[in-house]
Amino acid sequence: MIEERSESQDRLNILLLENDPADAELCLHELRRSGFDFRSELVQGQEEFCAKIESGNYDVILADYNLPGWSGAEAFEWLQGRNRDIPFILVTGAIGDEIAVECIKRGISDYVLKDRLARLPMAIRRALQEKALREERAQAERMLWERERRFHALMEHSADGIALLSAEGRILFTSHSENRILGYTAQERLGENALKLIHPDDQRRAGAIFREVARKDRNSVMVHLRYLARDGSWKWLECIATNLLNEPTVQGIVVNYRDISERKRAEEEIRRLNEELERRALERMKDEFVSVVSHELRTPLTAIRGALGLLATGKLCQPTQTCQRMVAVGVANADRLVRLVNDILDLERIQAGAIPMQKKVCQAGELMRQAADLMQVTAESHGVTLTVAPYSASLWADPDRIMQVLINLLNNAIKFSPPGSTVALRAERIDHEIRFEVKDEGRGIPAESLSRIFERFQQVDASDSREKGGTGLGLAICRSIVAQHGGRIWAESVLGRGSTFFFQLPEPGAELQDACKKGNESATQNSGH
Amino acid sequence: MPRRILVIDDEEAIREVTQVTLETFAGWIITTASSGREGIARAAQDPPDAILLDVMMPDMDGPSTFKELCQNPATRHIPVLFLTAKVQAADIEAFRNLGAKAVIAKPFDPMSLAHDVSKVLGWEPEAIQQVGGRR
Repeated sequence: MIEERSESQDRLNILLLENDPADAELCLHELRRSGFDFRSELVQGQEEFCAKIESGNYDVILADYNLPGWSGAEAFEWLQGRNRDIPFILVTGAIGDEIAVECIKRGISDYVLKDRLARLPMAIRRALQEKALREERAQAERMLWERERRFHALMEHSADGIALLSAEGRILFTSHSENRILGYTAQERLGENALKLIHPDDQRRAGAIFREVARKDRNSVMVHLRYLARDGSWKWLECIATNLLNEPTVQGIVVNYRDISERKRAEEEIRRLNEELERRALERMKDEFVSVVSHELRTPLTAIRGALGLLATGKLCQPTQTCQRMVAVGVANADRLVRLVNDILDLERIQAGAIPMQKKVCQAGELMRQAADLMQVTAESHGVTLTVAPYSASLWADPDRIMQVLINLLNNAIKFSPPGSTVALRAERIDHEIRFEVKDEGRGIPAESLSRIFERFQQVDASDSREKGGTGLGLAICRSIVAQHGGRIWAESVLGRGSTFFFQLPEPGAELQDACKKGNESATQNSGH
Repeated sequence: MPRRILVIDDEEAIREVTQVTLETFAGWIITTASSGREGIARAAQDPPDAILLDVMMPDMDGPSTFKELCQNPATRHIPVLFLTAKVQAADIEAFRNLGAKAVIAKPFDPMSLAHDVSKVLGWEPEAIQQVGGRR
């Protein structure tokens, strides 16, 4: 390292600060004798010394302690003030031990007594070596600092966040990226428990995983969890926690984390799309199934019903009474099966929204009258009186479907009414809705059954479908139709006194009221012709 | 001169029941075909007074058969009634738009089939034998 002392040449460049030229020459002589290759300059005064230092490049300074007007110690102090690290050796007559110790303490390389000049070469060599060591250390420190700076820059600019946690989860350190990812400054959460801001749904899982990591040295586990950011939003983080509690330089659980909210959103979107595709595929399959069932069931039914119907007429042969009865049973049950197939398909398709409601302006009173007309024959055959209260209001509805509901409710009411009783159909306007009401005087429905009669195959009595010819789907279809109109359906009943079925449809909105009015006017005009 | 009807349906049972029903109750002369292709050939060869056409058939379905019948000058004047298990309002509307005279839902009641067909075609109801039935 000594070889580095002079960049251009190996010669040692010496500055002598000495007011006695003879003493200076003695020093130089001693150096020559020891084989030093050097150049030297002699200065005596303070100004001259300072000028030389500013302009020259010296490897070593040999200075007398006692100088006229100032001292070698002061010269060294000045040098230190200029931040110049040049080996500085006092070459002096007798100085006290105290002064010598003080000088060495201040950083002077060495001192050599003038009557012991033989020590000078060794003192110079040692001072030069020490300087080389100092430079080496400074270089190493610079490199270390540089490395540390780079490491910090890496941490700061890393997209990932890094946190150091205690075994209990307290935050010991967080990198600056926390600010970017979660919005907290690196300092503000120090000492807090890191697990505290984990989403409630992820808390237990994250806690268990953290305890698992903390349990074993070098254990490393990855976990996805939601974490509360400073702005109140939840961020999806991918965390890798590693137990370095026993690593002397770390002494903590290191958590590397990154924001994967975008990825999670994308995954969620893909999942949703897949579900949607699956749902559509299922729907398509269901549609196909419904279509196939519709065709495959109806075709043999058509043949059975047709053949039995022909036999029942007695036109093809003259059957016995028992034979006629059996054929009648066959016809009735074929009819029942047809109704069942129709109802199942109807219900499935209404519920799936496959049958769009063909809504138009229609007159509630007109629909009621038509439904009652259609059911008149049935009512008469049961010995039941059917009454309709006149009513006038416009509806925005699918008239065929509303008719279907009315007929279904009337049919039920008639079937379950004793002969001589009355079934009444009426309607009224309640809170911007039109409420239809079908009231019978039948046996009534037990309270516990009232809520489920609108479910599929939930007749009050299982024998009803056989005796009354129902399919168990009529009310479910009614409910679906009413729901598709944004309305609701329900029933009230008193056992032994009768039941009332209600359904309520929203009144047409303001923009439809006009259309309804026009519909009324044209209806009036038409009836006038 | 009794009316002549062509029944086109791929199901033998349906063809037979329809044939017996119409022959028994209306006294019409019924010929049958088991596919659209066969039906078109029969209709062109010996045009009937009306055709009862099934909708869902393999190879050539009812609507395709109907279109071809309409394109042929020899058959385009023959009234066609669809017989279908597809009885949704939208389906019926679609068949009507094709130009069919009527859509008769399966299963049909043998007692009323002849009556319904006559009514649609405007044939005199007296031709149909009234039989005391259940309905």
